[in-house]
Amino acid sequence: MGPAERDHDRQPGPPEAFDGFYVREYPTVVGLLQGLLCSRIVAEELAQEAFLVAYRDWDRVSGLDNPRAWVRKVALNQRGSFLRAYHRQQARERASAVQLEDDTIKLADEHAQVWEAIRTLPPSQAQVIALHYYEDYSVAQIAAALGRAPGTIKAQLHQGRRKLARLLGAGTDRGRPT
Amino acid sequence: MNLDDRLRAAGRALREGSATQVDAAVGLREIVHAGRPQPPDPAAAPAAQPAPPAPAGLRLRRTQRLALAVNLLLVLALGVTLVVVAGGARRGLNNATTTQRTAATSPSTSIPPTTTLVTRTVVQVPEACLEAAELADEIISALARNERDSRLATAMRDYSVANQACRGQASRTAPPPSAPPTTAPPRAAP
Repeated sequence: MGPAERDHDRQPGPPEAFDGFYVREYPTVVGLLQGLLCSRIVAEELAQEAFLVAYRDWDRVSGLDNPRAWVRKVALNQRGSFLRAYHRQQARERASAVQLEDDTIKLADEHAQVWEAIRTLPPSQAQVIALHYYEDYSVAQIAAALGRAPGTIKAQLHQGRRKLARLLGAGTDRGRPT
Repeated sequence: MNLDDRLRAAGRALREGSATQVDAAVGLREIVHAGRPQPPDPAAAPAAQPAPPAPAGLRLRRTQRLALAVNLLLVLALGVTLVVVAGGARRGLNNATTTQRTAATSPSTSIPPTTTLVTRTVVQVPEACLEAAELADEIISALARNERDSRLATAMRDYSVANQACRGQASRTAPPPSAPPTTAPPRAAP
């Protein structure tokens, strides 16, 4: 599924019901947060909070240009909860704490290793990498979702990729981000 | 496989994993329940289905908010109590002082209130004494730092000189023993 097919940005017509939006987007938001936090419990907690905020203000949120990006922004920025969880997770991984079996979305080792490397990045770079490679967001979409300048996003994407190449021992030969 | 492909593959794998392993139905019920405005009287709707429990985070926040409110109320109550107690004590003290003053200055209640004159005494300290005190500070400080050098010796010599001068000046400026006190006694009203 390409970015165009997965991009559920606002379609012309009446705003959709919250139920449909939730059922479609919730697992993806949990996956995004789980990729960054490695704890499914914490990821679901933060995702629930974000969707609760959306639900309480659904009349307004459903009328926005991009409710999908809005809910991700809330999930990644809710009053520092995400950052606290992210730093806790980094500390846990540094201490090599045992990860609970039920507290993760099961992934093949090679993919789990990539996400583990992403979690060692600074939060801003990890967010940008996750939104680009997990959500297939373009630089402009990430900039809009996180409320940062496109130039900043490009720089963070570049720095994040360079660090990941070093961590994963892979080459960075790729096209420019769009 | 280059880095870009690896990252895309990892993203795709996580997306597929989240789609198959994350159940949205339970979460939706919790959201709808937590986001619904609470009925004013729970007893008014006995036939309603028992609602699922709120998410752990929400329960925690509610508990924290309640604890915060209780703490604030306790602090407020304590503050009010302290103010009341302090005010009462001050009033009692003022009353006692007024009573004592009235009793001391006016034997009968028909006498108007008295005015008390407070005279400040200004003490002139001889210059040499100030200098001696400063030198003494300096010497103590040097001794405390264990700096026993020529500066300490000089300071001690200067101190001796200043100390003698201070004694001499003080004896010249001291009032004679029969001199009246510098503070005027409180004058009673007629």
